[in-house]
Amino acid sequence: VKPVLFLGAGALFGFLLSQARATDFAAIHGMFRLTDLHLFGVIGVAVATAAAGLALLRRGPTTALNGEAISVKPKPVHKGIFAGGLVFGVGWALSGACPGTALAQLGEGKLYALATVAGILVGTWLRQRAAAPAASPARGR
Amino acid sequence: MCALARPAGAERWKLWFALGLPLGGLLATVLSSGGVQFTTSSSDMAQALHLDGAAQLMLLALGGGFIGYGARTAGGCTSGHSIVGLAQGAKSSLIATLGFMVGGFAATWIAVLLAGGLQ
Repeated sequence: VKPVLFLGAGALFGFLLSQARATDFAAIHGMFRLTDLHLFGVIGVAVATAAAGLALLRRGPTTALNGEAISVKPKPVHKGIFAGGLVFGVGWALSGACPGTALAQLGEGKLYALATVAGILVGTWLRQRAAAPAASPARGR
Repeated sequence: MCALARPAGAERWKLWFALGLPLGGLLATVLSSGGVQFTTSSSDMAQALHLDGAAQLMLLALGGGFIGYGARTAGGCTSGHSIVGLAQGAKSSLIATLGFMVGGFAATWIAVLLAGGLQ
């Protein structure tokens, strides 16, 4: 395992989220009020880039840095996805953050994001506790 | 919580990745404004929702709770579903992303109305 490479990949992602203003409450609020549409463009470009990267992965080397084979499979459809998505969307709008951007916000000096991160940890823990230990369908990323 | 503090070997890279995110935010901020200003409240939230420091923190924590619970239930977040999942053409990711957007629009407009309408 190569911690520095993973740290660097995370830093690159955080850097880009910050530069795209995905870490900005006003940008997310503006997206949902349709007064600032640039984040829709950011998501669109990111999807296109990811599609290109996935296409490369399918023809190129298939081993990850940790030695595991890279397998990119769509997540299965299950009943909770839309409801979970709704709940997530409410949180996204209220806090102006998602799991990645909340952490990037901390690096930007936005110390109030500690409240968001704490909430995320508690919410995740509550969800895991609510799921039966044996059958947990939503083994997320 | 224990799983978070002591991740299994195969999962440990995720923790390193997560630690990189604030580093990236710091780097972007230093490069664009020459330094970092630490703030404990958001002027954007004050302007958009007329909330002060303590109320902001409560809303952020509540929102964070929804984020964690929702992402765990949906099996992914905006990165996992809306970027990588949509790029794969995954049906589950399309459903999740629709949920994110509907939930986000609804919560934003309700919050704006509760905060005193549309000045």
